[in-house]
Amino acid sequence: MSTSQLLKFTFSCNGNKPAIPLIPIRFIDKNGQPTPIFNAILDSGADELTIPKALSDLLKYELRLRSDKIHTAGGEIEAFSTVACFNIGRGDREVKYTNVDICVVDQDMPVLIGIKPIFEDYKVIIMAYQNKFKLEPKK
Amino acid sequence: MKDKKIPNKYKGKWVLLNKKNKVIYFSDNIADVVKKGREYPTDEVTIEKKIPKGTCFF
Repeated sequence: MSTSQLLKFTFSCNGNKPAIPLIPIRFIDKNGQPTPIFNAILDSGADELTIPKALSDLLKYELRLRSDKIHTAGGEIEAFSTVACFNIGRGDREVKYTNVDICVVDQDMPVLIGIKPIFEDYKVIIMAYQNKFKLEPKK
Repeated sequence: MKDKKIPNKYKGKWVLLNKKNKVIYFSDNIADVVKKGREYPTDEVTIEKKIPKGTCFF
């Protein structure tokens, strides 16, 4: 995995109660084409970036079935691993992540962005009462 | 903070939002929304899955 220089960000939550932190993320498909920006849910309960298989298929990523099922609130489910390239942020303020191991599940679920890489790379300050949160690069 | 309820027709759907966060397209199928989103300049639209309150993600 490699990244470009980490940047300080302030992002918005979704404006509802409870406020859900959303991170703008663009995936790069196997041919190098970017997707439109997705609002990924920042989920401290997710070990890693997790995407639905339908999105992985669109990106033409190669999947490997994981030997161990993953544990969810609804029980154990099968999961796949793949290697993804994506940018977080938007406009001219994006951080590029290259060749990151991520999780793929065959469920119709939102894009979740979890411990790896966000909580490993950033200090995360959530101010739900202000409908925003900050990512401060690790030192 | 004003609580914005998700209209029933969007619940559980993949939606394409414009810069004002208004839904301009929606579908059950993520591929349809990505395809539609690619018709717009980068950064003008955002894709999101509208999840009802209390949804467990898996």
